[in-house]
Amino acid sequence: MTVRPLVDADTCVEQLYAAHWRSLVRLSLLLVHDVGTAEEVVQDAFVAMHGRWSRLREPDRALAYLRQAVVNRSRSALRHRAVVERHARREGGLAVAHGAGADDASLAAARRDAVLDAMRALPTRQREVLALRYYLDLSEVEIAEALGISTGAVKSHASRGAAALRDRLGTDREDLR
Amino acid sequence: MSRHDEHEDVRRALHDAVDDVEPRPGIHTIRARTAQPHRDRRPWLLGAFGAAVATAAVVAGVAVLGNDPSPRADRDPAATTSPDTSPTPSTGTAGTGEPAPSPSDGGSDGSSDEVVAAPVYLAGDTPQGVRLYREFRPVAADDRLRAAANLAVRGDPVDPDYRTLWPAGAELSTVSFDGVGSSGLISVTLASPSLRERPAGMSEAQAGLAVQQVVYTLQGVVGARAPVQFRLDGNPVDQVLGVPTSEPITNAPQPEVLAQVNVTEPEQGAEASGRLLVSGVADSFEATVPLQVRRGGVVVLQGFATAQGWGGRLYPWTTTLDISGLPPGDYTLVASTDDPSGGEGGGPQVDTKDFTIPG
Repeated sequence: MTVRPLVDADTCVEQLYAAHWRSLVRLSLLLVHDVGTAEEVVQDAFVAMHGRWSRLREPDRALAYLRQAVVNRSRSALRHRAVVERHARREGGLAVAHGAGADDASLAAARRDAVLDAMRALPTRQREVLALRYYLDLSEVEIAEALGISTGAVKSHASRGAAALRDRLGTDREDLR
Repeated sequence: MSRHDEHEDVRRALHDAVDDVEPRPGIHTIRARTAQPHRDRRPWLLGAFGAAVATAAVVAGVAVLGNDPSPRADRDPAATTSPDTSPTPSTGTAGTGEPAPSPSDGGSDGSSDEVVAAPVYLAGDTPQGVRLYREFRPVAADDRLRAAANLAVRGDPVDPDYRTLWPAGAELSTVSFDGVGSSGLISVTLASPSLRERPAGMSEAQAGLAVQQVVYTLQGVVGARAPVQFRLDGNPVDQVLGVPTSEPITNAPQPEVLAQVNVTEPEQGAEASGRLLVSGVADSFEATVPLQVRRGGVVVLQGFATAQGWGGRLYPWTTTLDISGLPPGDYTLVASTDDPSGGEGGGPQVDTKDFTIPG
């Protein structure tokens, strides 16, 4: 017998959007370093999730799928980045003020860029594991599932990634704050 | 959050890096892309092009929204990320690359009919005097600077509470942007020398605010706080509406010119049901933005949003209100600033948007 889903695809999209849009865009931002791309990636993930609803059926599984889609799509978006950057330079490379940027060239913004730059310099898996582990606070099991790797691999990527991030930032723990 | 204390520094670094990034709302685009065309359950998206387009949310998706609600699965991410970046300098995040005024999106499809949402600053009344409010309007991507500036100057707002401070018939003939970011220069050419003079009955403050309408609008469109040089016949013009403009004009401080609460969503005249996504910017006491839904003057729902900060500039806020218990009809969303003084300084500022719950 088939169990009818408790909510339909549209409702699930609305609920997960309300609860997770921001954090998923921010997750993607950690992986792609560009808000516009991150927004696109997460929109695409929501659309894909909606399309798979008949197989997902539950908000929990839909959320897990969303996270996985965001990570995978961020990875592919990053591959396109070189193209985009060349294009942006050709067009004059206007630095965007997606927000406070234009108003506040602040210390906080500089630090944020430093962290995002450092993330970008990491190997893909380390970057993904760090973002899922320390930004979304997923468990090792959840991360292993999302990335399709073993929990052992999650552990080692996490510890190497953390060390490499500290290295990249050229800091001790105090400076990271 | 102490499960992985040994890596607390990493956690903090990642959170610091992205926690104040406020993405533009994406729900409109997602709904449009997941809507089933034959059922057309979301007429406010599939039907009213103007209304659907007028939010920052749909910047990236508008070209599709107009006539084709089908998914954009074949889109090249590289083609859509660059020129569509946010035109909202007052809601905060990190830099992304925006080659702004360029019509080209690097994609293969022609961009002549590409539409983007542009912030347009218009005047409105507050207890503290006239201030500028922002509303998003659809403009042709390849003419976004001039189009947005003229929407501000002409003043035919979607929200009837807003108006332009420019005299009737005012027009800007060309607008360009040269350079990079805030070190670039925005050039605006007046269509008529009559705009040099301050019209009878316009105060100096109003004239200054009128000029700021254009400054804030264009800075929002290019996405950088670049100064604005007004010109006439190719040369810098000494004054605009009597305001000295020999030198490029910079944006006046936000607390002096911008309304302290400004609703982005819902848009004026929107239809909604179930959950109402409410977003905007505000500078309100302790970051609290009181919200009300009124029907015929009666408050039927109350809540509040918490902005990402307060003091000195506008900060983004967003929340959802459960309106599923409300019967079909016409409603007004009222967002206000919090006023701990009890009205001493003239009372809270408000911004209102009418919306409809369809029957």
